[in-house]
Amino acid sequence: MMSSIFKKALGLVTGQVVAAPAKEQVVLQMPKNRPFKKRTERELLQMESYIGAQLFGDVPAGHRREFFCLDPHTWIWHEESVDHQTGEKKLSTTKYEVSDKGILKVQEGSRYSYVQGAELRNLLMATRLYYEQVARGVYSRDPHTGRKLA
Amino acid sequence: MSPNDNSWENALRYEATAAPQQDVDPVLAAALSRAISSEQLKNPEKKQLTLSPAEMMQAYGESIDAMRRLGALEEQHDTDPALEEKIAASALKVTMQYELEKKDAGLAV
Repeated sequence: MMSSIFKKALGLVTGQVVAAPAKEQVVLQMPKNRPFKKRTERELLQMESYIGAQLFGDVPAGHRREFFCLDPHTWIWHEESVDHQTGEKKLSTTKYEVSDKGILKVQEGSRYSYVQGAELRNLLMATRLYYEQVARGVYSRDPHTGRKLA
Repeated sequence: MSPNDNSWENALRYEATAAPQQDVDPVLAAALSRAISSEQLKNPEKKQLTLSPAEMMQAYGESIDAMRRLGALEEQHDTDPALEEKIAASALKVTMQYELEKKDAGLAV
C-alpha cells in the first residue's frame, strides 16, 4: 500500500515507472523552452523538484535526490545512490504527512513517527526555502505577497 | 543525508545565508503590522499570533499547490481568482509569521 503511494508520487515527478530497472542514471532537468507547448502540472512539479533537490547543495555523481511538495498535505524526500564498490543501489523514500496533530514521518520498513526537535526545524527550514525559491523561480511570484513579480 | 543529520542543517544554513536579502516593502510591512495588531485585539489572551510547524508546512503546501494549479491554467491563458486569493492568503499567513519571528529575534522592521 505504502510502496504504491511512493511509486505513484515518484512517477508523477519523473514521469517514469519507478519499479522498472533503470539502465542509466536519470538526471532530472528543467524542461527546455518550448514556446509552442504548454506546461502541465506534472512538468511544473518537475521544475519544482529540480529546485528542491538543489536546496541541499550539489547532488554528487551517481546520486539522485528528490524533494518536493506533492499536495497541500504531503511532502516527499527521495534519495538514490549506488555503492561504487558493490554496485548496490540504495533507495530511501520518506513521506511527510501534515495534519493537525503534527507532521507524520512515513518510511518503508520503519515505524511511523511524528517529526520533532532538530529534524522538525530542518524540515521546516527546507520547506520554507522550497516555498521561497519555487515561488520566485518557477512561478515568478513574490513569496511575501503572492503577487506576480514584475 | 537526511533531515535528522547535521550536514543537512549546515547545507540549509549555507543556502539561507547565501540567498539574496530583499528589502521589506513598507506598504506590506504596515499592512502586516495592522493585521497583527488587529489579531491581537481579537485575541487579547493570546500574546502573539503564531503558527505551529504543521500549520506553517500546510500554508506552504497550500500555496505551492495553488501556484502549480494556477500556473498550469495560465499556460492555457486561463486564470482562477479563487486560486489567486488562496496564494495571497497563504503568503500573508507565512509573512506574518516571519515578522513575528523577526520581532522575537529583536529584528523588527
